[in-house]
Order: sequence, then structure tokens, then C-alpha cells
Amino acid sequence: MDRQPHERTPDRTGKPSNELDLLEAHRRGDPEAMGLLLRTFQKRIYAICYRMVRNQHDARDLTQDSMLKIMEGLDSYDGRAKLSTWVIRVTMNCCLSHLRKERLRRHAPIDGIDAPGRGSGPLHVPAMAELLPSRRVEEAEMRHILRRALGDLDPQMRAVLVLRDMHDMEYQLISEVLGVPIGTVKSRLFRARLALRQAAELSLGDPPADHDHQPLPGAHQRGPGE
Amino acid sequence: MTIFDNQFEEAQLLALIEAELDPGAAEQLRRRLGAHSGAVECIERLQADREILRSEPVPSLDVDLVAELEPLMVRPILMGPPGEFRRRRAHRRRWALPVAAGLGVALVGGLWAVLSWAPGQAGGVDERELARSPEGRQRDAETASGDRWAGGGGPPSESQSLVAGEGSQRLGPGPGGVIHHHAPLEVAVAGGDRSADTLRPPEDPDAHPRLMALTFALELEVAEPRRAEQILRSSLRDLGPRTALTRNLDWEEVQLLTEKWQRERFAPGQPPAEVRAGDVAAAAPPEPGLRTLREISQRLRRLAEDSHGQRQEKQILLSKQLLGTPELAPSFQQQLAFSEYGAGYTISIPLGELRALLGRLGVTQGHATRLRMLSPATDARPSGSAQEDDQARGWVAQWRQVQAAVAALRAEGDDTIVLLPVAIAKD
Repeated sequence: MDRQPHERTPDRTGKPSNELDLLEAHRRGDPEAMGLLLRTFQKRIYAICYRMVRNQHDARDLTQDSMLKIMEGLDSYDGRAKLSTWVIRVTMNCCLSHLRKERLRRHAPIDGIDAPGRGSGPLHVPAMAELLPSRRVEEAEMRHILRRALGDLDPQMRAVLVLRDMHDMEYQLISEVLGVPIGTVKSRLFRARLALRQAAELSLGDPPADHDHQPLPGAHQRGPGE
Repeated sequence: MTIFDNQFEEAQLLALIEAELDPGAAEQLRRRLGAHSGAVECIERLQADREILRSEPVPSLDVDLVAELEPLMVRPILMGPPGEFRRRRAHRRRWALPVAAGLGVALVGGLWAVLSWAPGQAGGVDERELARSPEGRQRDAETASGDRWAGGGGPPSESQSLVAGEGSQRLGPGPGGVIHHHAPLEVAVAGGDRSADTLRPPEDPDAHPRLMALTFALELEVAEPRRAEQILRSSLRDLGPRTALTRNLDWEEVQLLTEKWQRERFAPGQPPAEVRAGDVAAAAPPEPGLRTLREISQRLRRLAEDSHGQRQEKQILLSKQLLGTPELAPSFQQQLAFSEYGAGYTISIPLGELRALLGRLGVTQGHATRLRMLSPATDARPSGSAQEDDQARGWVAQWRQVQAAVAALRAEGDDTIVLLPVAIAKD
């Protein structure tokens, strides 16, 4: 995946090329450093935004919003986290904020049936028995279904899946980006996987028979921070 | 429905899905899961989902979103790194109190000296008010009423000039000196005193060394251009006494002035109402190519120089200073120069406050602001939409030049007064 290089690599033009060098150059007053710095992150920011909102137009807007926030907040960046982690955190906060506003704008589902893993109420985590695929589908179709199902997930769950699976981030980094303990990250990730699968099953047009919203069978529900 | 009877932990199952268990532990867990119908298949399904998500292609981005933000990057770097900026401000604050105290002592001492030397002359009366002739005060009222050409329709006569009169010589700037008006900017097109600084060329740094004309302009994009003046006024409020706002000559104004001068040359002394426009045009046809603001401004300059040569004494009201003291206003030539570039206003402001001003403009709702290089007007009128489009496109391309110009400002002191031309564009 598109991990950011952190080692300092000299540029043939003599200009700073590494993100930390660019940050230092920006703080020294180099007028071009900010632009170069943002360009090193631009694609990654966009990828996160796109995967969170599933819409190119919104993703571009969110990418620019995130970069604006980065511009504004870069002076307060204290170096405790890696710059890339801080950038992703800012980006993810922008996305989550956007999705929160979107959800507030939308009315509650008319039919009272909300999508799996979404909503402000207690999270429904499907039982494993619910997840047996009703039919075999081709991978291409499943890919399409999963993309759509991802868009129906609760934003917090979507965030952890995007960071883990699509950006190959370690639990520790996800924990720093989302500002939650590692235990919470793991718990949220597991539940997100189950919720995604349930959403995919619903998309297949064969909803699971059992809707009693029981907790995950056999799995001790660990609290945050464990 | 608990098919696993709480035998498994989320962390264990997740580790299996994430392929983080060593082979032995994974196999053991699979065996345990095998005791529950469908559990292994379910885990495999989750693993497959994970693989699909991990192999999702990265969405491509075919536009450079940073380029659109680059104009905004000028602002944070405008006055250098924030730390340095804060240090400079702190430094200024350290000196502010002693300097203010010193000035206060000097003011009290000076006032006492004046009162004891010329009793009854200055008490409670503004110096400029004393320096202004009755005619000048009359024209204040005319200007305030909005009739720029009041008093016969033509340019004000010599008797209306704001040259310091006899009664003001004691406290005024000296015989023959032009007293700047507080509200419209006075321009001595020709006068008895050539030392009047209103006609100094903008490129002459010695004539007015404290005012530095910037090579870039602030573009204010508003839905209702009439609101622009109000926005600028409110943004300058509380930024200190060393700020000023001047409405520059605009295209119509320059055109009007040219026409007035043509009339004067065609029929001097004759009321404009009796001079037919056709006669003026026939007698003084516009030079070929006299279409653009630049050309008109250049012609205006030539006319002004001609007037100087002929020693005609005329005092013409041009533009309007909206805020600040007259010393901070741009000169006539500077206004012309800015007008050539389509800048309808000029902000005079200490360099140290420029960042605060741009910050204020940036956060005010209802308009967009950006910095762009001053570029010469083309054949179209500055208000033409085609040119505005060109300027908007040019802005993106020019940001590096703006940044370079901004970076060059760092060599100047915070107290340097800069003249920032402001172009108003319709949103």
C-alpha cells in the first residue's frame, strides 16, 4: 500500500523532499514548502476521503478541507505523533465530521429498519450463524457488494476498516489516528467485519432469518481499552 | 443464539481473521470452531472480505487539488514563521509603553509651549481646521453632499484650492503648501507650490519613503460590489491609526476627467453645460487607441504634465479618502498606476498589520479574497467579464510570483507603510 517514506531522502534538485525536511523548511519560511508537503500527502488524503464518503466530488472537497486544516494546524503540530499519522488523523476527523453532518441532514429511516452497523443506538452485531452466505457470488460481484456495504456502515466502523484494510495501518497507528485505545480498535474492527458481512448479505437480497439482534455468540464483549 | 457458548474472545477471532496467530494456535482455534456449525465457514467468509478490501485499487486523482489552495498559502507565510511574527510583536509591545509615555510627555510640553507663546490661537481648535480656508470648508460640504463637480460643474477654481491661507500661516504647513483634505484626496494638478507631494511619481522612493507600493493586489470577490467598501472599512477598523483606505480613480472617473480637461482646452472658462460634447470630440478627438484605462491614465498624466508646463493653477478633486490620515493616502500618480491595474481602492497599512488584515478578510463571510500580481490592463475595460476571467486564471498561475513578492517583504520593517491595491470583482 501507499505508505509514506519517512527516511530523509535527498532530492536531485537540492530542494527538501522528505516530509520532515519540508516541515522544517516551511517553519523556516520557505514559501514553497507547504505546497510540496501537501503534495506528498495529497493522494493518500484523497484515498482516505474517497473510501470514507464513496463519492469523488465529496472526496475532493474533503481532501481540500483536510489540507486547509493541515495548513492551519501545522504550526501546532508538536511532533509527538508521526507527521503522516497526524495528517491522517486530521483527514479522518474531517471525514467523520462530514459524515456526522450528513447523517444529521438525513431523516431517520422511514421504515424503521436501519442499515447494519449504522445508527446512533446500540450496535447490532450479527450472530455468526446469520452470516452464512445464502449463495455463492463471483468475487467481482462481491467486491461491488462490499463497497456498497461499506458505505452503509457506521462511520466509526468504516474508519477502522478503511485504515486497517485499505491503508494497511497497524493497530497502534489506528489507535493514534482515531484517538482510542488499541483494545477498542480491535473490538471495533472485529465488529465492523461482522457488520460489513451482514450488510453484504442484506445486499445479496437474502436477509438473514434471525433478527433478534443478539450479541455476538460466544465472544466476550470486551470493553474499550482492554 | 449463542453457538459458541462464550468460548471465544473477539481478540482471538480477530487475530485468526487477520492471520496474526502462529500456525499452531490458528489450527487449534479452527479445531475448536469446527465444533460449531458454520463457524469456520463464517470466519473464512470474513477473511475473504478482508482480502477483497485489501486488494481494493487506490482511487486515482486526476487533478492537483493543492494548486487550488496555493493562493491561500500566501497568508500563513506572509509575515514569516508565526513564532518570529509573535516575537516581533512582543518586541514592539515592549517598546510601546515607554514610547507612548515619551510621546505623551513631549505632547504636553509642546502644548504648554504653544499656549504660552501664542495664547488664544490654538486652544481647542484642530490645526487643519485652522489651516483650511473658508472656501475649502465650503467644498468640504460640497464633497460631503456627493457632488464632486459642484460649483459651476467644472473643476474647482484657484480660489477654491486648499492652499493655506493667511490666517493659517502660523500653524499651517507654510505659505503655499497644500493642506491635504481629510476626505476627498486633494490633487494639485498645478499650483503655485511645486513642492506639493500629491504629484510625486510613485517610483520615486525619496519623495515619500514611508509608503511602499506593493506589486501585488488584493482581489475581493463579492456578490454585490457596492458592499466592498463596507467590507474594507470594517476590516480596517481597530487596526490602528496608521491605516487608511482610499477609493482610487476608477475608469469612469478618469474618463470624466479626461473629458473635463478636453473641455477646458477646447473652451476654457466656458461652463460645461454650454459646451457640446460633439464640439469637444471634434476639437480634441481621442487619440487612436485611447480605449484602455492604461492609455487614458497615460494621457491623463501627459495632460497633468502639460498643465504643469503651462502653469495653470487648478485644483481638482479626485477619488476619495475614506479612512485614515491624509499622509497615508496614495499619491495621485500611485492611484493612477493602481487604477491602470484595475484596483479601485488602496489600503495603506503597516506591514506588521497586513497579516491581521488579510486574516480578517479571510474569515469574513460573503466574499472571497486572494492576492494576485498587478498585471497591466488589456484592451478591454477592467470591468469586462472576459478580462476578469483572464485575471482569475492568471491568479492561479501567478501565486509563485505573489509568494516571491511576499517573501521579499520580510526584509522590510513592520512599521513600513505599504500601499495595497484592492481590485473588486463580482462573484
